[in-house]
Amino acid sequence: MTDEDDNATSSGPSEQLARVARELAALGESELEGDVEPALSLGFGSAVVSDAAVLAAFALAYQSTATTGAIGVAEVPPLAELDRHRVWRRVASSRIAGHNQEHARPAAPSWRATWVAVATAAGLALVPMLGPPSGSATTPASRATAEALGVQAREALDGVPGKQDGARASELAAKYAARLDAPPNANAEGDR
Amino acid sequence: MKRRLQRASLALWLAPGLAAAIGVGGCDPDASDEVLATPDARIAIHRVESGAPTREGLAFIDAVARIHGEVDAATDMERKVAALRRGLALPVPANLPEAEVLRLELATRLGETLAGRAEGVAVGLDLLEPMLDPERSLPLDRATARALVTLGDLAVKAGDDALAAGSYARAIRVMSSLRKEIEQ
Repeated sequence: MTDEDDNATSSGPSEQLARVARELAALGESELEGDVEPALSLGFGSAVVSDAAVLAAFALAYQSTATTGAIGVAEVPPLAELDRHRVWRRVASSRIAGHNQEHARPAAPSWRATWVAVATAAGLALVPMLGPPSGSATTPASRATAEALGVQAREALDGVPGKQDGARASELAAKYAARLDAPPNANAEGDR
Repeated sequence: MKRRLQRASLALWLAPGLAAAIGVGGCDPDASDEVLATPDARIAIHRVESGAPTREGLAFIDAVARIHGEVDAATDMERKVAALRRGLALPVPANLPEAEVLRLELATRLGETLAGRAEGVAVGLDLLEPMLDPERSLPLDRATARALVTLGDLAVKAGDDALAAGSYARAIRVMSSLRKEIEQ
């Protein structure tokens, strides 16, 4: 991490979020209501970061393209133009609430915060990908967002417990051998 | 705590770009005429249930463990690649659901190894893309998330940002499901 990031951690995000909130509030829409709200909470200010949040973020990111159906978000109800404005307004206000809450509560479970950040990046970082021109696989914006998403995914992966490669295969072999050598009744018991 | 804040700050830092992107995307009169590169974030996952153990199954798992040992001991890339290819060529015995995850780890490690050379990127993509096709159901396992991250890394190197973003997002969704599983 750079000094710039450290500075952003200490003072920048609140101002940036406030600016986003002002821009979105300028749209003049009322608070989001109805059944789309839970799916769009994105975990800000709460401990829940659901798969639906990532799906909803994708739906938002690609609402203005003609290809929404191709990204596997058919289960997310499409949002009207005004609803999108409402959603982003809610997202901005939730982010501020979540950010303030985190500062006021120093001992929150760490990996939940990680997931919040991951889900946020998953949803937000993909939005600029609306812009690549036809036939182009990469642009500076799409590259930057893909890389940012990659950083989040790798950091999240580091936090997922479990062995890998040789250590995992050896452990699995030992457990498998124990099951193989166990009496049939023991295996049946274990299967239940 | 600091790392947590740094992660959060990265996500927060992206917010202004988001607002700008919405504005630009919404105002571009030519946008509707373009066919945009779109990430595919679909993911179908299934739990890996153990079958009844067999001698053949144990032999397969032992062989995979030995392959990884060879790779760990190898100092040059060619030997690592050769060993991992042999691992992937091992015949999978019947009734061994665990083999799916073991093969995924072999393929991921091969992809990671190939990514070390520019000419290996395309090969790694050819290997991992079909295994991780969005049409396929993947095991609910850390290995799947790792494989998708590796696919994303290869896609970045190949300049395919849509594939990269889609793969990273799918990895995040797998990890989200894993988190729920662990918390239950």
